[in-house]
Amino acid sequence: MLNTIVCTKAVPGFITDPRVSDKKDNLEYEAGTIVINESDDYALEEAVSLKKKLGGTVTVISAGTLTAQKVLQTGLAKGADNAIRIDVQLTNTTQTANLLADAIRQTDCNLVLAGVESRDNMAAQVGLLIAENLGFPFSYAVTKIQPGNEEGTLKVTKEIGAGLKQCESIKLPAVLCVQTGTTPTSFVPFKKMMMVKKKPVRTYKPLDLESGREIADGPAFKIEEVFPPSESAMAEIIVGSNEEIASKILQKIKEAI
Amino acid sequence: MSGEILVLSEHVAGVIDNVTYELLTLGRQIADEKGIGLAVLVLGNQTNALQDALSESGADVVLVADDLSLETYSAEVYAAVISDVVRERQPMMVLTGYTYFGIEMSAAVATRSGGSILSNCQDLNFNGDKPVVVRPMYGGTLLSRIGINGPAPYVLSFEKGALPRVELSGKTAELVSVPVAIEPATLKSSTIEIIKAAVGEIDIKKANILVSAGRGIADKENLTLISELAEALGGAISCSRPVADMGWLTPEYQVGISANYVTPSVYIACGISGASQHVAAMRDSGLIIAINKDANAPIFRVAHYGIIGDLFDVIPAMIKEAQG
Repeated sequence: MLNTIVCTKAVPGFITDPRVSDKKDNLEYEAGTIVINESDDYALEEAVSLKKKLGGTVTVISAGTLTAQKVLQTGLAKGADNAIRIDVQLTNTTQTANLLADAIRQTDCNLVLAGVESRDNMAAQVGLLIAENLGFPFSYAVTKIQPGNEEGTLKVTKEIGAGLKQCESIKLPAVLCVQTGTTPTSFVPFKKMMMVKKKPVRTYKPLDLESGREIADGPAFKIEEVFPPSESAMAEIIVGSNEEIASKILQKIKEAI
Repeated sequence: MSGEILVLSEHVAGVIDNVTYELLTLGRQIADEKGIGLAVLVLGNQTNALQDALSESGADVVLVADDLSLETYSAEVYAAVISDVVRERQPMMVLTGYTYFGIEMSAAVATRSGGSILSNCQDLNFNGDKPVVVRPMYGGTLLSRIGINGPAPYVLSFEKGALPRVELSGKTAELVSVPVAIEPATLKSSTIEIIKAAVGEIDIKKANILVSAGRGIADKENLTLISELAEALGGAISCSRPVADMGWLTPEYQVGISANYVTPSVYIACGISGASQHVAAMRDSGLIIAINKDANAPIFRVAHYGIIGDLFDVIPAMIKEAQG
């Protein structure tokens, strides 16, 4: 039986006015709609699908402010049984992973799923750092999860680059970072979202957890500045009517072939 | 500053990947500035040709982990061997690619050696002895400059193609064999098989002109427009990851580090934002043209020519022009 915990992150659809926080440990911005991070959504679908096939439970977890609650509710509406939130918003992946690992350790889960990369921080490390913290074997860019040939194992297929995939047997408990596109993601009707709103979300403050005290010691990284990519690397922009643009571009193509 | 710089090399089908030479170029520059050594680690079985390729690549030392147990890549085994090397040699910095291999190794190596990790870096400078990196956020629309306060070794992964590569020659590196002590009974994972992508009738790598569709095409039916432009130009169609994820095209059409690397004479990115995993696999194309509504889309940083506008307006005009 699988007791799966899915790490999900609430990410903004878009941001404006990004700036470094006073403590230089985080980014502040005006955000558009908050959504579940894309690859985390696929991880969630995998978890729910595994529960249907093999039984067990699904718990969604997120480190984030109260706005992350919406993402946890999406998880509950999609079929998760429990939800956990750590009330903290961090840019530092190691600190985030350590807090998540502390909370995961207090559950009876034997499978941790995470997405491959978050849209906002683009670090692709949280799931793998959780694996290291917990001492679990890990697999990254997983595209297929099946029951293993032996009890207490899973058969996992993952991308290893250049069109190659690796199929491996992995012992539970384990951490798998799920790639996008594994299974179609489902839409959650508004009514279902309303139904789960009253479900309890277990909430930790960082200091409730062991690694929370390290964070209080100060940031391990300092964000010095944020800035847009250099204009000098910008493509030459072709302007004009559609016909003028088409004519100019076709000329460039003719010269290139 | 004590310690050395250690580059983790990558190889596919017996060939050292370009990202390794990019990392060696960066590593050599820092090693010279700081007056420290540069080592490169190669793992595999029967690695003689790989050792030769690395022996005159700018490194002072080529560390060789050559063992039957390293014949096939295993994240668990490779992480254990690399972590042993890092604990033994205590480098100041470990450089790896922001690739499947580098991503899987970084967390394990940093955690097991008590170091600090920053991934997906594009540039590196120093503030005294402490590294300061530039890395993307929010889909590459924003860059951040981050200083590390944590302890060494600094485990940094770099986007493939983000660093310049300079041919480094000169002295031949010293070869040093490193022990591989893997106890099979303790392993928690094992490889069942390596699966190669199915070779079908489609091979986008052979196309001279690629018209590539991204999430911005909005609907599967709009692939017809992309196909019509490809046909009018005498080229083929391809796509970015979201289009394959949604099942609009099969993965054999996908351009990206997980699927196909392409270098056509002309690459036209239609509604593709330009995620680093996509860009790394097409940036060496001859002429890159990007069409996107979002002026901030990172694809415009790699394209030679850009059209900021609606592809549903521009592409029909291009088809008409191409058909003469």
